Amino acid sequence: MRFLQIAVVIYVMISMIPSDIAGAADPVQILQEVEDSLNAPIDREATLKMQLIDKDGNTKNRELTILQKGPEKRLIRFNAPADVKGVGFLILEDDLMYLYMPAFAKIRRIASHVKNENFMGTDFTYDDMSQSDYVKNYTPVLKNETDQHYVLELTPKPESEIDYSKLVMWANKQTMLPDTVEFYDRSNRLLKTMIQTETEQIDGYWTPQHIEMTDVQDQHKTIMELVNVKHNQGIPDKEFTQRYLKRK
Amino acid sequence: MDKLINSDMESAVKPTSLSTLVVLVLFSLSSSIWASPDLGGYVETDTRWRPGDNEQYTWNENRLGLKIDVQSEGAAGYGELRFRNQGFADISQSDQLCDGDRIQPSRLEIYEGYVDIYGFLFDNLDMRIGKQRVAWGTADKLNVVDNLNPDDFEDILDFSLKLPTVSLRLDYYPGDFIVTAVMIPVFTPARSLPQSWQAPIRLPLPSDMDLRTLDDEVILPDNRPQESAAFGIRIKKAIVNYDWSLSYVYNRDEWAIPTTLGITKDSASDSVDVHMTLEYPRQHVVGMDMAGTIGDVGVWAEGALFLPEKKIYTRVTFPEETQEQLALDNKPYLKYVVGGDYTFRNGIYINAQYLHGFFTDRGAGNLEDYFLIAFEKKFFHEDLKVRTVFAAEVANFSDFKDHSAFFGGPEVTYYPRDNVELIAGSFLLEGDTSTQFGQFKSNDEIYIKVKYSF
Repeated sequence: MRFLQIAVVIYVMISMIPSDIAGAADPVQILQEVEDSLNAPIDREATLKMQLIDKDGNTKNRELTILQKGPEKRLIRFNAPADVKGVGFLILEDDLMYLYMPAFAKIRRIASHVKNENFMGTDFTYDDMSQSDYVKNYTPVLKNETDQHYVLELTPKPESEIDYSKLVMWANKQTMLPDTVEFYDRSNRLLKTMIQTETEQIDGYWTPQHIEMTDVQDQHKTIMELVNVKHNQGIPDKEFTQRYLKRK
Repeated sequence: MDKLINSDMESAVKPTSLSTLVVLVLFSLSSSIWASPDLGGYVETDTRWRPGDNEQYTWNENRLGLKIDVQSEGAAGYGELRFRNQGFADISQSDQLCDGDRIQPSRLEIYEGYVDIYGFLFDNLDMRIGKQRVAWGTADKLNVVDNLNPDDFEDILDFSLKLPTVSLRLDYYPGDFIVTAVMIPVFTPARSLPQSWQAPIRLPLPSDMDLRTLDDEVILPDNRPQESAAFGIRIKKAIVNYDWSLSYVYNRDEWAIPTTLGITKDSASDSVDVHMTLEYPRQHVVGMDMAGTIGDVGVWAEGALFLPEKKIYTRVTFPEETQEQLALDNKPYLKYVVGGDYTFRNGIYINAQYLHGFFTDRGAGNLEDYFLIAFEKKFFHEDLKVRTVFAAEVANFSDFKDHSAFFGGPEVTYYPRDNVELIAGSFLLEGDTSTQFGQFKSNDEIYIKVKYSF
């Protein structure tokens, strides 16, 4: 009789746990699906309008054009403000990065030590801007599941050189894109929160068009609007070269 | 030397006709021909003050820079005009007070003006023609392989600047290679330091002679291609995750070398009058540079082997005799620079370089060593940047104490609004007066700059 009671209690406890956590959902598989969704378009072109807002409400603006092909190739060019206009970044596989500064008429190789630095004063690090290889860099654990989200906790793999102690990601079940990501610092304190909204299908691909990254420790926020988004335009590989980086 | 400076000033005011044409065409083109011409620029104020016994203002400039960028299918044009109010009132008599240019010296420069044609003749060939800067090398500003554009030492605070020149540049992209060929038809000399930074000229005079007057004559190369033109070619490729370049330049040294000294002795005293001529000798420069990473550390290196085309002698004519003294040997000499940079987790950026052979060092055995280290930290989401540079010049390692100099200083940049930069800093020097920088040890400067870009 006592054995039966224990069995009933165990059954009830198990039945209260969401089925995916109980074993149906593989967190690595979920994270892979998120990554696949992020990298689904063959190529993407977009204009990013950024507002940098400090704790006193002072605002600065950035505008840049980004070309992306696959998960590895990115060409970023600043359109505004005027003092950085024309500055370009070329990001290729294996952390290969080049910076073009028109004032010096020169392309400069950038080492990966900048990965964890803020990107041009925004709340995004260089690594945040290029993050699309979650499975390679993180070990995921499924912490929760709701009707709309998988909640994953991502711990950096030892070899990944990620500067966060962990991420907590709310992956949207419909779009398989992260709606919210919390970034924790090395002391395991909440550092930043990224919220992606206005997610719509553009050219058949789910695309968040409003992204807010808030640094809760510095009380600083970056709002990023994606406009003029185009997918699968057939951007040739040659556009992700030093030749095109220095073109205005 | 005055002639050298004046001739440079004139060349700044009277830009070459081709670059003038390019910029004027760019500024006058209608948008019906070129898609969306893009106008921008900046206004900048730069004031410098030298404290101490020799207290004075050393720089007083207001600059308006206008940039135009026009694009069309497969082509582009770019021009930059600089309107400069620079210097101090040059008034000594009352009748000069009606001369506006003496009260507020001003000048107009066409800094750059060129046209790009992409896919010129072949898909993989781009051409740029006009007044332009051709920057070679991977080091941070101390580029020993960067020898196509002459040095621009107008501003000692940025001694790595170069003067753009009218050039034809071809970039060819076969596979993973980048091949660049440059032809500069007309020779342009380097721009010297401002008068207050010019070192006393050391002449090979006997110790019993006192210099009374010195006048000089700068002899530019004949104005024809064989004498004036320069050429360069560079091949660049990534190998094993490092970027490598090989380059070759045939040009004239942008710094003049004395070829004659005519010495006339005053019979009533031991003082002498000297007439000096200076020329720009031909040279070959073979260069190599690389850039890459070791772990997360950025690393770079450059080496340039200078091969003077022939020995240059200074013919010294004394009243009684004539001697020939070797001014520049034709032995090859190697300049090089190695460096690296890194950003620590606390956000402090460090950049360190070792340079053998400064821009003005010439000849085997005359190359000095420099160590430069810069620290930089940004605060408040890059609203505030603090940077300090510390540099050491070592003329002689075996007698470091008496043959070395130190220079550098802190700089703070504040960005209160988009496009606005407020900069305050200092340039401090100390060291032995026999060294390049130590001889200016009383020339410490404090500066304030304001820049607005639009």
